[in-house]
Amino acid sequence: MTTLAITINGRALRPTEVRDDLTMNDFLREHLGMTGTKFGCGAAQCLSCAVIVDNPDGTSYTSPTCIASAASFDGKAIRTVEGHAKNGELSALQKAFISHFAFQCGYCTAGFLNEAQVLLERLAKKPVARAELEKIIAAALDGHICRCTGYIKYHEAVRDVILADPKRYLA
Amino acid sequence: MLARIRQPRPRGSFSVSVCGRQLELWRIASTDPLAKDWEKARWKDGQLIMPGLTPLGLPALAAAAHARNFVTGAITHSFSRWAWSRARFQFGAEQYRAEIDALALRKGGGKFQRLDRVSVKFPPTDNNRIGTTYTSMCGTLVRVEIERATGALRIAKAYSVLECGQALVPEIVLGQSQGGFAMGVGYALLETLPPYEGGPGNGQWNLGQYLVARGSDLPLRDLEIEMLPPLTSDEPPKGMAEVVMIPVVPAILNAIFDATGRRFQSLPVTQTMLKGATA
Repeated sequence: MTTLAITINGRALRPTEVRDDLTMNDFLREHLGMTGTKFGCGAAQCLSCAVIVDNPDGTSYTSPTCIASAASFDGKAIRTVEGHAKNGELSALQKAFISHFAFQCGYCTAGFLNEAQVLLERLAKKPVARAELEKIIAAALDGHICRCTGYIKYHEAVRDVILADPKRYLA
Repeated sequence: MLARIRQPRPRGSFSVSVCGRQLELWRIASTDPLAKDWEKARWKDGQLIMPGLTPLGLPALAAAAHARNFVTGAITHSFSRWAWSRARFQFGAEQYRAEIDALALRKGGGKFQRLDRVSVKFPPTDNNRIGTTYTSMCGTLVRVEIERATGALRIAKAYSVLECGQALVPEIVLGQSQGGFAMGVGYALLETLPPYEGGPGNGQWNLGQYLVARGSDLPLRDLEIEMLPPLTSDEPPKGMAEVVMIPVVPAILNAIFDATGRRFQSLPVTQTMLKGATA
């Protein structure tokens, strides 16, 4: 057993005892009831289960939760799909996903959303040239599998959010 | 009448039927011969159109319906088994007959109220055995680039065209088309499950081995989908599922033939096979 201390979507959870073989995905979905994070392939191949991990230095990355133990997140701060909307208002990315009809079944959406959010924050810190943008978006999203309709529309939605605020994201 | 609810069924629009009331807005008396023609009214670009009359805009219709306690909402239920359920509903002085089996209406700002139904008919259970074809047609053009040294294939540009009758939600038809294209790419170039001991029955297969198309396998900026208008103005929505997937496969294999002179007879055509063909 491990005593897990974790911050989720800005709220520090009361330290909880967890079994060492409990996956982070089961911890989120079964213990906390946070089912926005999905369980897909169970092998870190589809990334529908990815969440955002925030480093103390202000940088962030996504991590799959299906093959990672909950205990391995001890001391970390993460964000899940439930944390994007603020005061009942969806984030710019969430709105763009909807207006582009980017998803159909929605299973991959939380993963794409987290990945794209990390990309946005990275670009805000380190803007890129417009000419490189398409490749950068494609590379950022490429680990995520969508089996319905989404690749092109996710790509377009992320691009639109970036192009809507070029001073922030583009060099 | 404002409930722009479509029957799940292609023919006509329920909205127009229930709302003989718009006649009043057109100032057509119920005794006028035109009154019998109201089923000919059609929605087009947010306006209710009837030949020879001024089109009625939805906002104006909505305002009038709310102000005068006309029908402002409708909820229907139907059931399909290669034919739709049917029933009659008493609506004011008229009997309304439709391919639905339940109907609730709301007037003005009121609550929805269920209408009594009579003559309910459901399609026979024998229909479960019927197969039905709707024939949504589709074609594809692709341009591929194959790197001679490695056999790596890139789809540089692609075009798919389809006709699926009236698209109820064009954005979703477009998404299904893009997704169907991606599945076609997987079918042609990536996806395989071998039989026998090493196949998926061994319990070890996952998306690490069973490769499906990712964004980088697609021409993300250069995939054009053209949705043709319905063949006729009253053509029903036919469904299109993953029809766009199908011609992607022969299109890619024909493009490979044009590029390399090799005809491949089995799928998927992998990078290793292509490397052999370009050597």
